[in-house]
Amino acid sequence: MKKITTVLVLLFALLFAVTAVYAADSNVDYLGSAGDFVFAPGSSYSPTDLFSNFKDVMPGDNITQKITVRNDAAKNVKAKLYVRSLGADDATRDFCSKLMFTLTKSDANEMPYMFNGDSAFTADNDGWIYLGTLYSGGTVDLDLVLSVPTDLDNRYANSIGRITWEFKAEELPVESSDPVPPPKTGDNSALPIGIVAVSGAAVAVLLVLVLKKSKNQNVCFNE
Amino acid sequence: MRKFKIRLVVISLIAIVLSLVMQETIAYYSSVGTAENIVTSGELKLRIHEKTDQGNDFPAEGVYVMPGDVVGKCVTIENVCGHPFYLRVRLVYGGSSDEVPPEDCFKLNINEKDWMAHDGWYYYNGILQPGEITPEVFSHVEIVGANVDNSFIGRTLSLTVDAQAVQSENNPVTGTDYFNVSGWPAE
Repeated sequence: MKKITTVLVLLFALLFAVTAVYAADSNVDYLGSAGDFVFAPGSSYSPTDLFSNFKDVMPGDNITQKITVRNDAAKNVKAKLYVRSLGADDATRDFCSKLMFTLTKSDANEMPYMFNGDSAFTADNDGWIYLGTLYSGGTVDLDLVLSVPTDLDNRYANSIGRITWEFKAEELPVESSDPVPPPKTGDNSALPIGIVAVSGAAVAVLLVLVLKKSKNQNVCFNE
Repeated sequence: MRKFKIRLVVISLIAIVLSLVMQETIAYYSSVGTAENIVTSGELKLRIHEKTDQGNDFPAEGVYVMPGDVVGKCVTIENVCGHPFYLRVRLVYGGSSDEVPPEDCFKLNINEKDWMAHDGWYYYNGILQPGEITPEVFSHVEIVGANVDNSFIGRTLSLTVDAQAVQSENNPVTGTDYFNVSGWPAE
């Protein structure tokens, strides 16, 4: 029994370790039918925080945050997706004004796309940035690079910056001439596979435990 | 009348073209979601340890000394943040005698292997990683008997350890010139 408990603890520890490895990327999922956007992974500061990698930054840092925007509508939905920055809130604007953001479309994407976040991240910029038209299951990967200036002085140590982003989806009628979305390649399947594998092993151990207990009970009954 | 018909046809055509273009951009549904994103900056934190020969914390209220005494006071610095840093330490002497400068009242066994003297500071020869503690800056303080005479009876001498750190990430050093790295606070 002690061994099984140890195995279970190890399995769950492994499960959390697998999750932690992939925690650095962020996801924006559009659920379709004028539904909600779901933002992950969030943080202790904000449940919709997409800047997982931008914590505890230091002067001179250049850090990339990968953000995957996905049209996760269950049915066949075509949507134009946009993003815009509403800038920093008043309390943190000074700190945020020292930071440089550059958002680019990842090299992995086929459609060339780029804009410099320098102007987009000022407080008064309300321009929507077109990310692309995605079909159900379609994704677009973005690379957001944060550059912290080397001359950021001690006044900004241990500071917090809050930057609000808006994502917009516009659904369009699907035309017969529309390209067929490519099948899923399974490129992002490492996390589910890891979770499934560990969960499966945990279930197997539990099953063994239950069967063993059941067998013992049978023996007692026969006696 | 004919002109009117032509205008009507032209306007109708423009309206048709516009409606076709508009049809391309009209969306069935639209939805907006808001993400509040957070950036936090790090900071450097260090802790100065002062221990007696017995390994206890050196008493904050100080100790009574006599000329020629050697007092155990082992000074080390700990990195208590998540970032590596360069480190320097300055010793500030204080005393209430007008005749003898306070620094002449102390003699310290500075660890010159790990700390390099430069312009009034002792620079740590290396980068202090998170959680690490430096070798001692010094471990004993001698009260110089030749300089501390009867005029010091009942007076107070002080020795203050002042430490400063500068991040080593994105801040390379040339060789071992730790005193030349960028970011040391201005004095």
